[in-house]
Amino acid sequence: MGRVTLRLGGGLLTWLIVLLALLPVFWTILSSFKSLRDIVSPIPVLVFQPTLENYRTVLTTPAVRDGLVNSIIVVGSALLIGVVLGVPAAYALARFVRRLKGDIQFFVLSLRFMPPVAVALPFIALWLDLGLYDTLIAVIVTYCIVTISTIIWLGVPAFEQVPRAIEEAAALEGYGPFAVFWKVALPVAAPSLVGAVLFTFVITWNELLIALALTSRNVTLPVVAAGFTTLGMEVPWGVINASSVVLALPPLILVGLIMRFIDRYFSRPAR
Amino acid sequence: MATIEIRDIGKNYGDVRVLDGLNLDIGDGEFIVLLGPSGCGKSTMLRMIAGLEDVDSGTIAIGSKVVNNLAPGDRRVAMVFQSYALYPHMTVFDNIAFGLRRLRVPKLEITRRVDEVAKLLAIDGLLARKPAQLSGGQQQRVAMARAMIKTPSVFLFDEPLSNLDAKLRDHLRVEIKRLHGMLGTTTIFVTHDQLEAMALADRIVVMNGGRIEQQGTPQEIYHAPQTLFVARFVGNPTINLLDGRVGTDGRIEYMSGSLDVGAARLDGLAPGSPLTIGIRARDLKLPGRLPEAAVAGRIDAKVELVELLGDEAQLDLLVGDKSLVVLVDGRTPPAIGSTLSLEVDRNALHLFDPESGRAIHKTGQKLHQAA
Ligand SMILES: Nc1ncnc2c1ncn2[C@@H]1O[C@H](COP(=O)(O)OP(=O)(O)O)[C@@H](O)[C@H]1O
Ligand SMILES: [Mg+2]
Repeated sequence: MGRVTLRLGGGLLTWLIVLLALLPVFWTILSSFKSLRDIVSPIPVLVFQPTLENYRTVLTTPAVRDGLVNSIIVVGSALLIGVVLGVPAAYALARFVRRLKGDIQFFVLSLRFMPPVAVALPFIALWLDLGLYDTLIAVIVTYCIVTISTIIWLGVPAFEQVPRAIEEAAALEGYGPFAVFWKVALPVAAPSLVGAVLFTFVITWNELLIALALTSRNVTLPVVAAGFTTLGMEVPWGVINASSVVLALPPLILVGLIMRFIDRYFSRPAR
Repeated sequence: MATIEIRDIGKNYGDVRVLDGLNLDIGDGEFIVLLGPSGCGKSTMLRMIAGLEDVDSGTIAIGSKVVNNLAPGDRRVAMVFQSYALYPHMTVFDNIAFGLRRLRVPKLEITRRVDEVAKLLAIDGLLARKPAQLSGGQQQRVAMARAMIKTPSVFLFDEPLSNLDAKLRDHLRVEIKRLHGMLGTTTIFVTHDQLEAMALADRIVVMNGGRIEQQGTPQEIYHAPQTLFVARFVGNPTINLLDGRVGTDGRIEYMSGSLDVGAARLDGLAPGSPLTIGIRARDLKLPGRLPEAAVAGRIDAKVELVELLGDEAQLDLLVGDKSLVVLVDGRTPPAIGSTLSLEVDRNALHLFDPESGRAIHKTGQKLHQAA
């Protein structure tokens, strides 16, 4: 009897936590289809006349389109550089560096501990001096610190999971260190690395503070979305909610696509 | 195919001396088994031959060419790992073909050769699968096929069977022996399983603590162990050991009794010198099973436990406070609690110096003739 109660209680608790986590998301989506009058009504309105007005406002604002393009350029470039430099670095750390490995890994991790403001302020001065303030290049280079360090940090354990023996087997077949990395270690670590890249994508895609500090006109999407709070005299809740949904969609779609890719290529059928 | 000469090789991990000046000559086509307890340095030695570990001192030559500074891929050796070490992202076919692809062997030739080894190892139906879709035994066959396909000069096996269940292990052991008979490739096989070593080896090299204890044919290792370590490590059940002293007239005193081993056997040993007497479980016989001339003496013992093992029964006996293990015919085993007067086969006695652990040689007498 007690076990059944426990399992029921556990299940109930799980659903409660899921509900708590999803409620704001649900409310945001719901509100994005409401008119402002329905949103600010003191009694929460569940039945209402849905409107696409908020989305029309968001998508017809030129700043949104520009922000989207900037975000894709900035995040795409920083992610690409992060992968190209971070993945081999993670492999080298996992396999070849013995003595300083702990220190290097901690240094990389400490970059993530740092409050973003501490990164942003010196960079403002730096980019102003170089005449690159308010350029995409400046944001890309600054984001590379985030992408490279995060991919290294998550990539080292991904490569450490690759059994050493299979790399040795490849070495015995005459493959050199680069071929062993490219043909054996990389594909075997790929599923975990894809996770690392996704995580890095999400944190840079959603990044607001550094982007806000380093740009004034060439802004990314989160900065545009943040700007909606100050559009008019009254807070445009519906537009804010709609822009949140628009902002959240690209990562969701990407994660969905990549998960399907992982499933297809890396799932191990049960014996 | 190739000979292997190992000269004074040493290896340290930090302050720990893992291999301490080993010498070993391996003939062309020989099947060598490195046998020893876990941690004695077998894998290290094998990996040094493969080129996966640096050689700290000494030289390794394959086919009379020193290979110390050759990359693993240039040594013409192939290795089968305990963990199989298959490439998980490739099909069985690609796993086997991977080495040939680097050599830019033509596609058709690759297919032909993969099919050939796959047939040989009875995995030709599995070529399209991924390793995760194979059983342990099938994975190890794929690993062997991968090792064989490049027709290497030397095969290295590092405990390839120890992750398999007993039945499969026996099966693959026979397979490995058959393949060696067919290909005749020089082979070094590492194991801690003495039965595996006995079954496979042309020559067994017993290792202990980074040194070679003894090398010889399985018969020599089993019937003429040169050290107490080898005597204890090889043989199942473990050899019975009794403390004794050199007596007079070619006799050895032990506990309550004495054994007549002949004066020649104790030549040069002062009366009273301590000895360790080793008697294998099958060399202690029930009364009347030995010709009287071969009986060195009798040991009176009480039966504590009888375990039926099929054809044989294992008796746990007590002599004073010392326990002995004896194997007898399983059809009519003695009753528990009965007292036996066991006959000791003079020709099957092993004597050791308890201090050095070395065998006291059977001078004036040929080594025990192996049956
Ligand atoms: N990479 C390593 N670093 C430090 N010690 C090691 C390393 N590899 C093996 N050893 C040590 O060397 C000894 C021999 O190891 P190994 O050759 O694997 O033994 P075996 O294969 O006979 O079990 C062991 O004591 C082991 O702990
Ligand atoms: Mg080992």
